[in-house]
Amino acid sequence: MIAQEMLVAAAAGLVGVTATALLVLWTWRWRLIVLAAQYVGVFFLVQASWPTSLALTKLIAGWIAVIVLWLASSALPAAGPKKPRRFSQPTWLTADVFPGAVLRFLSSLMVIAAAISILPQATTWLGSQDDLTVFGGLVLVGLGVLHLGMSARPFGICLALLTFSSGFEVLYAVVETSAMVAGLQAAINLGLALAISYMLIEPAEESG
Amino acid sequence: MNVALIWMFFPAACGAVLLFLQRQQRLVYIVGIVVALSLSLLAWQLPIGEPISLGSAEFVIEDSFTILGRSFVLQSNDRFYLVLLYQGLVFWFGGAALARVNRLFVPLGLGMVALLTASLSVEPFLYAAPLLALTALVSVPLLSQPGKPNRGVLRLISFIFLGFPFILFSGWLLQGLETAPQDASSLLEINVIIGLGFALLLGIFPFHTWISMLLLEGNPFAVAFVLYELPVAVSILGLSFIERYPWLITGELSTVLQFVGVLMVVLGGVWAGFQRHLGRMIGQAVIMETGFSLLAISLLGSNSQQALSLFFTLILPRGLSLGIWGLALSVLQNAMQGENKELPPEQALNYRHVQGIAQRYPVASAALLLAHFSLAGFPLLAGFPVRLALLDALSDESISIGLACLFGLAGLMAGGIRTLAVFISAEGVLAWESLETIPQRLLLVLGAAMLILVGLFPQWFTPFLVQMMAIFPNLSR
Repeated sequence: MIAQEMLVAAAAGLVGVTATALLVLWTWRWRLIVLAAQYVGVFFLVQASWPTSLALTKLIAGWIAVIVLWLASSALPAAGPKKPRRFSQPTWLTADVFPGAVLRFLSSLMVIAAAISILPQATTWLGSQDDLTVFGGLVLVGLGVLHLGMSARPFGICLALLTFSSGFEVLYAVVETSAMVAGLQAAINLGLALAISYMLIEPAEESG
Repeated sequence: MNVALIWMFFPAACGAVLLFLQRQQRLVYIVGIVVALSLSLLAWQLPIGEPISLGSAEFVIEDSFTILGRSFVLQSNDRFYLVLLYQGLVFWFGGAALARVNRLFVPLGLGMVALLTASLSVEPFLYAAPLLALTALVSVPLLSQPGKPNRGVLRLISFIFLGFPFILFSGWLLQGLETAPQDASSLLEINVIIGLGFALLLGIFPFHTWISMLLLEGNPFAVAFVLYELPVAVSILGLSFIERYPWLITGELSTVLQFVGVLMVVLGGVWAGFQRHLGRMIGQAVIMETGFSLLAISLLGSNSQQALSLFFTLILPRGLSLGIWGLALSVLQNAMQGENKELPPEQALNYRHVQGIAQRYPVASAALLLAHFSLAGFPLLAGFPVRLALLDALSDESISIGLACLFGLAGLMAGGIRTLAVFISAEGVLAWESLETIPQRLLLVLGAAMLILVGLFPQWFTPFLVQMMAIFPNLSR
């Protein structure tokens, strides 16, 4: 029992770190590696409410989505989604990579603080005893929305939506256990990865 | 044999097979049309859940199919909606062949309609929300080109992703209310959550921005298809909520729906009146259509039968007008880009590029204007009778709502008149000619004739549309 609680605590910490890292990092390879690690955390958070076999769908579907995005990103030319877009007239937000990263990091800390502050109300509302699972879900939802608000490119939007979706899955797992929902959510995550890959990759010129 | 096999798995499987036949486009269109037509005929003729004799053999089409512990149920009263869904698909596939849409239109169109059928039939009904999100994802290749991210599509996906969790959570809360006593604060909480969910899914103000953005960069016909199918399916999910929990439609909710509906009609109309891009103009018309649907639903509290019949009667003129408008726009967009290869797609339909185009593409121009005026409620066109009935019903509730809607319609009408002026104001004197292909001319003339026919004889079509009310037995009682 204690081991399970420690596992959930570690998973909640892991998703907090990974969701923040997704905001701060720029290299697509590192971001996808972090996303893959995030799905491990999501698996343990969902596993606290669902049977392990059902919770595994989150991990497997998430990793497949990561593979799809990896293949799509590696097919892009060298100037793929590595750095934030440079504007001709730099603003305070985009003038340089480092200040932008600091801003994003501080913003994510604020979201995590907000998640901590609403945690008691959220656990009461969801009728859950498991504060850490709910905390993990709230952090993912909050950081996913923050990431979405700060992204303009398909790759960043995809990562943001996958993070938000993971948070929702963790919170919904607390209130409902359904194989159908698990299957549909897996399909939606995969569908998102495929749709974004479609938008990223230009078709090869047909010969002859 | 069961309903899921016929109206869900079969079209989805056909779509999957057609994905591999992309080099034989003509075959893909023919197969797509034949499959959609067959399924609509089957929905019309095949009794569900009753014994069917075929020579000496007798069999029953089971009305439910269970997978992963949940059921997909289609009953006899769902048949009319299936007929509309698949018959509509025949019409859209016919137009797609001439609109130079993405090669994936037919396979993905079949997949989308299979998912929409699943969303209609899934039990519990709130699981329709993730199915609709999946439908939106399937539509992505129709709306954008590979390697060219479309901002409207990204925003659509974002709003759908943010919206469907609200629907699932509201379903969970509503189930809780069935066993616990209802109090005002929890009802308000549920209404807010449901409202947010549907606002995001339907593109209700202020989450409507993606609608016009889609039409800037995508093929107008494919976008019109998605903008017709998705909102109708989402609205039907909303009606399913009220069917299951009729106490949701309180006086306050009706007032909120009326306010939001009027807001969308008026804003859409005003924006249309000042619009200078033909693609965005459809977007404003779609925003207004969503507003009209909300206004029809708002009448559920006072007269549910009338409200439902108005809601379903809106669907045919909308589909017909959007289809013809989208096809005509695609013809004009392709023409503009053919004439000026360097013209970016998002600028091809600007007023300054289509000036005087009626002299070269008179059939497409005329069909576009008829579809536009039909949605603006111009007398004797398809959209007129149902708008008249809706305004009449709304005016009984409050004359100011009726007047506000008239103002919105006047804005859309003004947009149409401006488009007409742009189409016929050529620089210099040019000879009139018709550069559309013969099949394009035929289909556009047929569509325009249908717009006039539905407007002149609504009584021929309305009884069929009203029968779709049977999907909601409690509300239509």
